[in-house]
Amino acid sequence: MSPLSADRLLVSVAPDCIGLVRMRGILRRAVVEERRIACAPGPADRPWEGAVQALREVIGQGGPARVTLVLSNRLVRYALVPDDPGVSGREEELALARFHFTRIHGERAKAWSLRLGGAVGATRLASAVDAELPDALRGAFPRTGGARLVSVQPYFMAAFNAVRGALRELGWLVLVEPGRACLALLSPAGWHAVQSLRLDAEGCAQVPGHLEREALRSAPEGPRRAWVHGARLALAGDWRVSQLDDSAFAMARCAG
Amino acid sequence: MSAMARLPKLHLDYQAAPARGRALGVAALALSLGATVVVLERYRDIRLEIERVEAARGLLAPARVTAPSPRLEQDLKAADAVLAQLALPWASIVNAVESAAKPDVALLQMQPDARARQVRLGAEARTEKAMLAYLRRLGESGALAEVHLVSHQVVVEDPQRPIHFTVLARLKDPA
Repeated sequence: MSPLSADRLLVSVAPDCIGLVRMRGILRRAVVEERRIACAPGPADRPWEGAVQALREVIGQGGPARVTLVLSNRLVRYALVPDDPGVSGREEELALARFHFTRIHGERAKAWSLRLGGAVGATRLASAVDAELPDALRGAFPRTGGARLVSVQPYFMAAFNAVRGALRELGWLVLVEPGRACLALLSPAGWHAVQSLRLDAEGCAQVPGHLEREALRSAPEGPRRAWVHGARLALAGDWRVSQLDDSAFAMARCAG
Repeated sequence: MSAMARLPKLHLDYQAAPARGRALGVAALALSLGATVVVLERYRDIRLEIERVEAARGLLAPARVTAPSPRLEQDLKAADAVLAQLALPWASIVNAVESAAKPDVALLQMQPDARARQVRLGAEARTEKAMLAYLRRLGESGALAEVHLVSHQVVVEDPQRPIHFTVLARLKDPA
């Protein structure tokens, strides 16, 4: 199979399952496989261990493919990093981001692997994952196999980049997955608020209440406008809602 | 409320570097292809001019006509072949193939033949019915004629048993 026509494999990685979408073809790719594989979550300090093992088995069985992994928000933390004119260079920027994560999450944040995105001069968005996770994911790809890891993206990055064309006014991007909701308020000046919230057994039904509380806390006079990805939500009152992908494999598909 | 400009991409990737380099590479490729077309078009114009001059010279001194060298002939044939490929109606071929695409058929290969004015497609279908429907849609596309199946094979190693098949079609002359 030539590099031009190698399959594209989009894999969502959560502590208790991986979701796989295989796409094939040139010019216009068709989905040829969708599959969910359950796995046992790892221990508290390495919750991703079971998912990495399941990924290793799937990659070992498949043929040539360019693979993009989308990390569940249950494995990623986010923080806003306000612009600081006194900071220059990549290292200082990351140090500032780490400072903000430590302020929120304590000393354990010092061991996380960080990425910083968004425009310089505006409030930026940073992500953090366990330091061992990226290497563990790379280790799931055998050197001699045909599958090649091309991207490891937090769910927030994949979903935002997929739908940013639709985000043309102030509002909330709401990402929903089993056990987690991520709410982010965006504006032309950059990111205004981001919160990642655990969902209990009620699941999606809790999200409207969380969004209402965050909107009151972060921007009481702010827009009541929401784009929802990963689930179908009904918001009460004067909220204007755009439903983005709410399919079972929305998290993996948004990286396609 | 006034619309915001499209927000720039967010890059938080733990594997890939930012795509700035790729965008530059694509731009360089596009410029190179454009320059190639311009150079080949100029080559063709010069060649035509040479032929006109040769013909005119022939009218004045017909005994001095000499045959071109084998190497020059070879170069001219190669350049003609490239020009023929570039002159193919790419937009209508791509439109025809894209409009026939459905979720149950994936295009794997596309080989146009400028000299024969044909295109050979390799594809994979989930079922025989999907394969035949794809052939029918290609034929209805308007850009392709005499669409026919050259070969097909069930991939028995794949549990879903898809069908790999090859299609040959003639490029219709532009209206």
